[in-house]
Amino acid sequence: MKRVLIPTDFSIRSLNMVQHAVNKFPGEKIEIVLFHLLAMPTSITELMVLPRKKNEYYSIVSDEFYEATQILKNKYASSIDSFTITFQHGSTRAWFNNFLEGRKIDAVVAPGELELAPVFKSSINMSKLIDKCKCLIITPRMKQAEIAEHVPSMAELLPVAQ
Amino acid sequence: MKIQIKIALLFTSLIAVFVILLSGFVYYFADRNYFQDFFKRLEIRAVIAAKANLEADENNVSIYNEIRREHLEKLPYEKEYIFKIDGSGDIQDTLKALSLPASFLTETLAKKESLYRHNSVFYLGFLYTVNRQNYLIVMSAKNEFGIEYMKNLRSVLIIGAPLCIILALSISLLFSRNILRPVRKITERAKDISSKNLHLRLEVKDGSDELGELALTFNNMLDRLETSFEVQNNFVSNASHELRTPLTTIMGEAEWALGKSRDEEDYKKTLAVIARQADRLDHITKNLLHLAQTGFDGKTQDFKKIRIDELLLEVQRSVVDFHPESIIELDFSLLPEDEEKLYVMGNSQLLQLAFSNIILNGCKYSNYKPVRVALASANETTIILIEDKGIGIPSNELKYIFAPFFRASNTGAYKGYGIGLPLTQNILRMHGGSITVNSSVQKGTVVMVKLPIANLD
Repeated sequence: MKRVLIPTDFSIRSLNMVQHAVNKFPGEKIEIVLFHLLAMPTSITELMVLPRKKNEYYSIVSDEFYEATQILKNKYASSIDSFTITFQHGSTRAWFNNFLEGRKIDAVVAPGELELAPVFKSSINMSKLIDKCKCLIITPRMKQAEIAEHVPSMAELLPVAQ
Repeated sequence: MKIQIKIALLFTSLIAVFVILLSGFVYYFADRNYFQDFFKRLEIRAVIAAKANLEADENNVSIYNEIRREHLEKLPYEKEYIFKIDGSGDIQDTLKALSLPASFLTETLAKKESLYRHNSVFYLGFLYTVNRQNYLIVMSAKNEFGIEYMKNLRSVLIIGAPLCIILALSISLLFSRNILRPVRKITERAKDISSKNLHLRLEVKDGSDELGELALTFNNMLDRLETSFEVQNNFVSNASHELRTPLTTIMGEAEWALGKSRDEEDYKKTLAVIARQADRLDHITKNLLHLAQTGFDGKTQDFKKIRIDELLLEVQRSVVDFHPESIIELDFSLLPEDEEKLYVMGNSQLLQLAFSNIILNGCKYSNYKPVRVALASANETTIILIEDKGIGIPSNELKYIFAPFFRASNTGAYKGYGIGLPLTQNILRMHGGSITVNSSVQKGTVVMVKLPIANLD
């Protein structure tokens, strides 16, 4: 069982990275952790209400996105064990490495040329952190154009969510 | 009788029983308590009277008299009788004169004290012993306050209980009206629906309660009705159109052959054409018959398990059969590994009709540019995406495309009846699925169909 971290901005297109994870560990079960990074708030009042903001975060995940994860899980049924979605607060390299170790993450997929949108005001650019982390990094071998060609249907399959 | 009134009456009668029972209890217990209290007061007076009259010590007598005067208020019609019990029949006679029963004396002798009530007059018998001599003290008074009080209570209860019942009746009428309002709405709406406007549906606010379920069931029934109606419509227009083309060819060829005498070769050619067209006619009539049967036959409602990818392949084959110039690219790149996720419950003829309608539209309105059909399965639904690069649908007309006989404003150059999409929508509704259309003019249209996956068991 491998645990692979994939950054996401909750667009269907960002799920293209799932296939790289699957290709990296052929014949192995993979637990996919979709994560989104947010900056730690600096004001005390914001910090106090932080635990209650979970619902607000999860409300951004559209039904189509969940549906797309189900589609992928069905497509790669023999390799993908589960999808989990998590929001994390933090921005430093040390924290990120700690987080990877603590969660027992085996590999991280780098978004490469795929640009992830900052969904929240406090969203953090995840690709920089990922490029410098101490974990196994899966970099897509294909260029952006090739990605679009290789899995043409994914994003278009659920056009509403684009 | 209307159910609304039945509910109200039932509720009211329940409340009435409660109110009447409660009033009865209140009256009974108030009565008992109040008179017990009065007897206690009589008892005190009897004891004091006995002491004041029969006590041997002069000092004590004067004190008791003073207590009586100063501290004990005279009750209305208060009377006291003191008898010496010496075995003579005088007592019995006097008691009779006071209209007290004989048992009063015997009970007093036995229990040292007894109570008796005659209308509003209360009697208390009390046995008092001084120097081994027994005296019977009888104290009587009229309980005017009590009677008045009980009268008041009685009238309050007699007026209050009906008022409560009337209140309950009006509230229950209000409630039952409220509860049954959706039913009335359904009735009104259902009255409006006839064969002319079968596309109308009942309003379903939330399907969680029984009435919501009723409306939903009703809507499903209307879906089935509308589908069969439109299949019939479609059948007629399809039939006339599809049958005419080969017939015209046959007639033309026959006329040409009969025009003058021809070579044997020419006759052979003509007859070959006629035979081919007759074949086509045969094929079409068979197909149309099939279509008609699926629409009208009640048996078609028994759904079978269908593999959706095979169904799409079948649709591709039949569409290319009819319109050889159409290009359909089936994209199975997202196919689930578990083939169980590809099964849906449905009628394969109807589903084929639905998908070939969508795909044919895609081919037709894009002048036979490639149409892409993608298939993927989520956990509970399978998703089929049909994408063309055609003329698109103007965004302000998008909401009307499922209305029967509606044709978008930019479709003038294309043949059509405006029946395909509504029929498709009805077929998909019958299967518990849904269809959503996204389109931009001159760029193309994306149709997304969702169908529930058949239960795995």
